[in-house]
Amino acid sequence: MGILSSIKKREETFKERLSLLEKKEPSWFLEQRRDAFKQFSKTGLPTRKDEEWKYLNLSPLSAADFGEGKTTQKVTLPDWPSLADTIIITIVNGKWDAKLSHNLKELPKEVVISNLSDAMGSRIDLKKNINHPVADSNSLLFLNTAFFDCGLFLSIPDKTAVKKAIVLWHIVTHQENSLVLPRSLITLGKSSKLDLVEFFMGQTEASYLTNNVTEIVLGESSQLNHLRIQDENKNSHHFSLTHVSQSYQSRYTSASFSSGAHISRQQCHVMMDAEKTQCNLSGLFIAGHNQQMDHHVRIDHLKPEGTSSTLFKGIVDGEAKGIFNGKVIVHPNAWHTDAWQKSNNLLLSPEAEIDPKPQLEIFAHDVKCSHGATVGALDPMALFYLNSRGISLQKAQELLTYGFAHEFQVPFDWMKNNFECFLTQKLTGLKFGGAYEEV
Amino acid sequence: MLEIKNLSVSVDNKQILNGLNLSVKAGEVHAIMGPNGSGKSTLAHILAGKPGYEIIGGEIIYQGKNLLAMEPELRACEGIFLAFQYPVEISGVNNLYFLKEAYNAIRRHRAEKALDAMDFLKLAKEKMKLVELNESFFNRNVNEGFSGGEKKRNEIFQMAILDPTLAILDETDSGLDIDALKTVASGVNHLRNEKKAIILVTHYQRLLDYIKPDFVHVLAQGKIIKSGDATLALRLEEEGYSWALEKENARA
Ligand SMILES: Nc1ncnc2c1ncn2[C@@H]1O[C@H](COP(=O)(O)OP(=O)(O)O)[C@@H](O)[C@H]1O
Ligand SMILES: [Mg+2]
Repeated sequence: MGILSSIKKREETFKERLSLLEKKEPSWFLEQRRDAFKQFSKTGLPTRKDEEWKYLNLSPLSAADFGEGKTTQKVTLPDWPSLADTIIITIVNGKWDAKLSHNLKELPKEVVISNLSDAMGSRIDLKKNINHPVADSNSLLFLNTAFFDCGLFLSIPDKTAVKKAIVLWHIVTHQENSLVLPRSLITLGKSSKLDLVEFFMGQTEASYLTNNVTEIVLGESSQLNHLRIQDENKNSHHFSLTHVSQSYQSRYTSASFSSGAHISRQQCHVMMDAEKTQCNLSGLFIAGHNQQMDHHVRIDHLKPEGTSSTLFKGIVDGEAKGIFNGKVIVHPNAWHTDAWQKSNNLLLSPEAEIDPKPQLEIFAHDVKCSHGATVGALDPMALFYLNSRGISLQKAQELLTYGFAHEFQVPFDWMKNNFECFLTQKLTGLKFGGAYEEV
Repeated sequence: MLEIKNLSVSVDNKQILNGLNLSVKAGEVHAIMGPNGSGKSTLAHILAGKPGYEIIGGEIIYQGKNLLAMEPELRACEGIFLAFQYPVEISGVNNLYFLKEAYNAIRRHRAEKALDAMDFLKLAKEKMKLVELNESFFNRNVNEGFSGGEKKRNEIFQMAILDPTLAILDETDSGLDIDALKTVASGVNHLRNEKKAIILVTHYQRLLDYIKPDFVHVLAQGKIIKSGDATLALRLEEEGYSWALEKENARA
């Protein structure tokens, strides 16, 4: 039994961990850890009785525990040619491994990369940047806060435009039923600029559970282009929370691609708590076989003249299930908000299921908002057109699906070709209603 | 090359073709004319293998093989090409990439080596001159936002690249101005040789001034009711289809 199902084991593990952290972390954060532990013990993992979780079956997770990696295992860096010229920070089983970094020396000197526990010890100001309450997935945030090990702190100083992209390369090598808890805090100073990639993948076939928390704080007029790629192995589970706080005139552009994990749920929560903020979220997910993929997006427009857009595209095949839940809340003071939200989905198999739910709650006057969702299938006329030119049915379906997916673009030009190859490769794994082989 | 025997076809329980016969030999150009809704596109689609039709009788033999048993992509690999009356717009799919995939699929079927992007581009540039489309069409999505005439030129461009043995052109001339019509005709005449055959579905005699057919057929009431040489098209232009229909009905 793992810490998620055994109370005794959970308490013992927590005490043990805390005693190790007492010398390292400030008391205010230890207090937050204790509090999070208490809260998690009270609620446990979400169940299908929770409205926001009703589509996901989490019962297979009860065995999850902290595992041991095979220390002999070689960790490989990404083989994407476009990443050769980036700065790579490798996070193995939730812990930053400084030895496996790449190009770190090319960062401007003022940029801080450190262990989050250490950073909190010396910077009381981080208190306001960490552990933001989030909608709908607090229990996972509690679990991460109580138990994460070290964590990562990345801070870009004022007026610094980081030329090379920073890649957080998250890999898992642990064995069966391991619980992996990556934690990152990323802050951008005034008028700074960063291209950030978070890449999640398993380098094991084991069924582990990743529960990631990334908190992002954007200073005035800063700009973050953020790409997330979730390509975990097909036996694993992936939960992730991204929390973004925006300051005046800051711009957050995010693209999220997922095709991995057996069960996954990714939540992005953006607080536009300043005037003239801009936020553009896009997503593409490909779920096949028996995958369950849930994307939750929540945007709070709290101040005037904010602009937000959300476009999520879902491709669902086999007996897979896709969920998109988007909520845009325009609070009473957020006049002149401009917000739109779209969820477009492609169903490739009669057994596949998609539940798109875009929601808009408006409490302010003089705003421009829209939302919508579509679910469709491949166009038979277009399929015939391609077939009549000699292109096989499988290839024709891949091409049309690619055409559907194409609207999703990574937020960096230098990665476009590389991502297109990656996407094309992912589409060749689809069966278009045909049977998947058991793995 | 192509032998259609007694073909009867229905869609949604509505019979459209009713005992159609047609024989096409290598080197020949056949024009099929007929009133709106007489089943010309249906025939063209069936030759290319579009699903959704019920074959209630007859057979089609193409180069000695049972055509109706072949998947559409196999037919294309074996040399059949349909220029669509209404070419389909495909968003997000690059025109040149699509055509390279098609070209290489057919090459692989013939156990020939696939062309890489560079060599294919060279071929495409050469064939493009034939249809007077400029290279900006390479990188647009397949037919998306093309004008009617551009779509038709794109069909002929595809035909020029894929170099079919049996080309079926379904009203490729409709809606074209005279210059576009000449371009389309020259594309077709370029393909023409003693090893290939062409079926032109058309409403107008006009196209036949530029592509001289060996045979002209009138399709009406689900079958070929009249066949003749190029002069039949001129006669139809003068007298209308009702003339051919009356003669057929008087005979029946
Ligand atoms: N999918 C379909 N379902 C029902 N009727 C159809 C379908 N396709 C064609 N038809 C009918 O079949 C007849 C022949 O159509 P078509 O072959 O397009 O004629 P043509 O090309 O000679 O103008 C028309 O009456 C048309 O309405
Ligand atoms: Mg027609």
